[in-house]
Amino acid sequence: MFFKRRKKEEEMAPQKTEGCGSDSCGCKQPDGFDQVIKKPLDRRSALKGLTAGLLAGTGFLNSSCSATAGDADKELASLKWNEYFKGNYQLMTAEEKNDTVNRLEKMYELNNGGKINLSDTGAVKDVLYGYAFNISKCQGYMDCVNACVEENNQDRDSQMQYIRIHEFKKGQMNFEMADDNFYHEVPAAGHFYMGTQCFHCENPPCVDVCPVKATWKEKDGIVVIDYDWCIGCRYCQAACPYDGRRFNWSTPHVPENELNKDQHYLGNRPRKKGVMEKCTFCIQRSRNGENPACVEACPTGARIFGNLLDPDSTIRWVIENKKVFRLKEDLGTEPKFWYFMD
Amino acid sequence: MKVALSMISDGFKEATNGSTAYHIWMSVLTLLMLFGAYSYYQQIVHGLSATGMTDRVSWGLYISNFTFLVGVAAAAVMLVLPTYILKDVDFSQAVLIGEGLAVSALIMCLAFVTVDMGGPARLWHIIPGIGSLNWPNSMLAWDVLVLNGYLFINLSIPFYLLYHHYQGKKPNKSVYLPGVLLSVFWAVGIHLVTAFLYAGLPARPFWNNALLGPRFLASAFAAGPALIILVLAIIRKFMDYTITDKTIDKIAMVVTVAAQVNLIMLGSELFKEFYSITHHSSSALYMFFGVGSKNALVPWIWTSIGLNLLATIALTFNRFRKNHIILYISCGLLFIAIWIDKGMGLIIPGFIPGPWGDVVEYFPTWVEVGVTIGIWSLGAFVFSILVKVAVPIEMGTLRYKK
Amino acid sequence: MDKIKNNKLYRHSCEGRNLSKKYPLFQKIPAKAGIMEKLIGMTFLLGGLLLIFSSCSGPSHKDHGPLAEIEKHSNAAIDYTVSSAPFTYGIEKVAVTNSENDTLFFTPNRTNHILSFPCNNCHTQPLSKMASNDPSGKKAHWNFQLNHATEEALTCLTCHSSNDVEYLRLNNNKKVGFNKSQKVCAQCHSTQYNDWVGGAHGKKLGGWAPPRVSNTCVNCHNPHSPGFETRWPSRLNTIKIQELDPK
Repeated sequence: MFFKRRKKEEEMAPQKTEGCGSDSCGCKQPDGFDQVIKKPLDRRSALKGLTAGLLAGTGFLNSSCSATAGDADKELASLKWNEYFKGNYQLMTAEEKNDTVNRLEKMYELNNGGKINLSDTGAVKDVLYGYAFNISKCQGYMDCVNACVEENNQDRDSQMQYIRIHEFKKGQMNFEMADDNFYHEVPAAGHFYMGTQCFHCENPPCVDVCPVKATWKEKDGIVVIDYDWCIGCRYCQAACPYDGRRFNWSTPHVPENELNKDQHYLGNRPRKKGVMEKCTFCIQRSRNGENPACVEACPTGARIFGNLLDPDSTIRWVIENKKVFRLKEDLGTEPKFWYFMD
Repeated sequence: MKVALSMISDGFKEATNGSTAYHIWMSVLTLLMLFGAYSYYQQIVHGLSATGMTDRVSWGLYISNFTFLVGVAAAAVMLVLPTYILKDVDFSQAVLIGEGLAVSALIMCLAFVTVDMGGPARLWHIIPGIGSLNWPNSMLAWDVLVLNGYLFINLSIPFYLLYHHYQGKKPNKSVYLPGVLLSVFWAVGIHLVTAFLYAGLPARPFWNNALLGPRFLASAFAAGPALIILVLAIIRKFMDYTITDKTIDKIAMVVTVAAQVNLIMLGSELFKEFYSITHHSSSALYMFFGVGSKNALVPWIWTSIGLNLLATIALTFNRFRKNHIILYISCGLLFIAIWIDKGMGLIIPGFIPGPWGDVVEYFPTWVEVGVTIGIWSLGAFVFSILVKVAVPIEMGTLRYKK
Repeated sequence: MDKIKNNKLYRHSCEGRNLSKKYPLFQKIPAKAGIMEKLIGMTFLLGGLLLIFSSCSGPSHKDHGPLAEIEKHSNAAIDYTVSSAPFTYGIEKVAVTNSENDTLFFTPNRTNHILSFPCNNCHTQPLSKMASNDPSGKKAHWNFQLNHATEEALTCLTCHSSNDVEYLRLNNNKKVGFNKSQKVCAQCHSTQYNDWVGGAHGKKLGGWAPPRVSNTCVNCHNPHSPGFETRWPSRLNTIKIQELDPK
């Protein structure tokens, strides 16, 4: 099996250098355990065989006694093994991406019985996503928060939420005085509302600080995280001026019947303990032309999403015709998230 | 090769034999380390939710201790510099102790960083070549490199020296002097890089100031040598190693100057934060005075400032500094003051209030405290072994037998 | 303080102030030079290296924002590989056109959703006749309460036509179908109308990709009472409350 994959890699090689022309991706650098043990081919397959045997032998994965279960467990163990040693998604070849997607789908099936639909759709050509938020329209209903949680499979136990809706008393816009966890009839008299989430900065400080390149800006401007590459140092969380990032302090838990099974590798696929996550503009939706869940859920139309490069898009119209502003512009982060009023 | 093996086995024998006090000391450390290991096991099982950290305050006790200990490690240079380069022989007995301290502090640093990771099993992603180290963009990548480099330097120089002393030979200056020179820069480097780790984040105005690096250095060169003085005092009492009063006095001078500079910088920071209160002063306001009912750091920081002032004033007067009892007490106070100031007093208020102004306090849990105690014990354990082995070699009582 | 002054370290650091001028970086440092001088020289060197590294990665914000990206990109219409069509599949659409009759975007069909449309199911006679007919008969539209502007500004017949109830009426007495009701609203609410056409006002259905489908005014605002009631937020985060107040 490993021989086969290796051969495919070789076939892919010329494509690899071609496809990865971006200056920042650093594709010349070999990456991942695979690439390192590439040369001594025999040793590599031997090593993997050996470790697979060892795993089974030491009961690394609590293999059960029954013979049939043993097979599934062995397969799972081998899948897990390959998952553990895979490289950074940014540096993977198309083949490797495909492999990991298949592995993750298979692992879900072996673990949970059901099927998930995991995609690794790339950026749509000539698209740079932007978002606008109408402060006059937001009423503080929090429907966006609900939709986001359901769409993106956030941990239910810690009530993780990407979106925060801040309630300001009229007369100032001081976040320190705002309440972002109100619970009374809304809109409350004398108050206005404003949502924050990841702003997908063009110049994201979180990306610069990541020690392992586990987070980056995609071509369509979405800042994503490779959940399997993140080491959980939380430096990005300290570097984000917008509180856009969330950490899995314990194993995230989503009830099986509430799990959104339409998933994207860089989006809402289930995370694990000890990794960072954040809003991805619902990458699993937006890359199909769909609006993010928050935009779809907002009953007021306060949320506007679209392609900044498209002169006919509504987001462009808003930026060009309304008086827009962005938060903490002085930090030079260049958020792609604008606020405006009627 | 044979010599090295013999040195290791002799060293092992030396480290495992000693007085009752030594054995008790080491067993206590072992017990504490086990306690730490158990706490860490709890953290592994439950995830970092076993700690007091949250999305609001996402670094806590671990990173605080890490930051402080980088300073301690860097401070070894204050002994290396005069001994090897300025040829001030007074420090030569102290310098190996200092480097031993640096090694132990670095091991603790790396341990603190490791326990702070959400995915310690994926730490291999950071290894250049196998993983993808984000160098030179990430200051954390720089920190990984400089810390490991410093650890290597501080392991290899003492080892080279001891290896030669062990055989009764004189070490070759042209071999170790460049290394020593390098380590001097490196020491400043590790501390500055660690400061830049925080200072480079405009998201956190409390950290994002140019004084952070220099103040790190000043406080480190106060706290590190202060610890060395205390350690030397203990070694002097329990071992036959001669450490002259002159050595201690000179290190005390280093501590004093550094502590004074640190106070000036503290004053400068306080002026900037409180003369014209902007929303960038919120963190300082929270730390020094609390926000509403939330004032967990207030007693800590005032204790720190009180101790700092007291110790620095005592050290400034010759009469007090020359009195070794007062000197030791002052060093102890200064060490504690800077531990609070550079640890809890620097890291935690950086997150409070959060980017959107919410004040969520941080309280370490028992798991966190347990792991922290365990790592400090690990450091003390490593340091004890290093000293236990290095001192007899330096004194000539432990020699290679052909 | 005398002690400090006599200290070698102190003396050297004072002398070292003008060093960068005296000894250029790569020039061999004279043997006489103290070690402190060498140290300072090397610090400059290191500092220089750091500067080079930082300048490599430091982007200039002026040409690095989303607006700069927009400027760099051609202003031509984009040939999309994705479409919103699958997400608005079930919606019967009506085109919104400009004065040149070009389709701008779509709104959901309205007439299909008005109960008992077409109106002439009941309105078989002119309104004036129906009112006097059969006083015991059922009253239609009994639940309509006009809560829109003031009575002086607006009555039923401001928008509805008395002689042809199948149509809405404009101020110039021209008729407008229920599927183009936004034209009626636009007479007063021209700002909102412009925002809506541009895309700043009103909820979009389907996706961000073309074809665009937007709710029309009356999909959200009840024309007879266009304001909104207050309601409860759809969720409360209890963990956040705990975080803010651990007791």
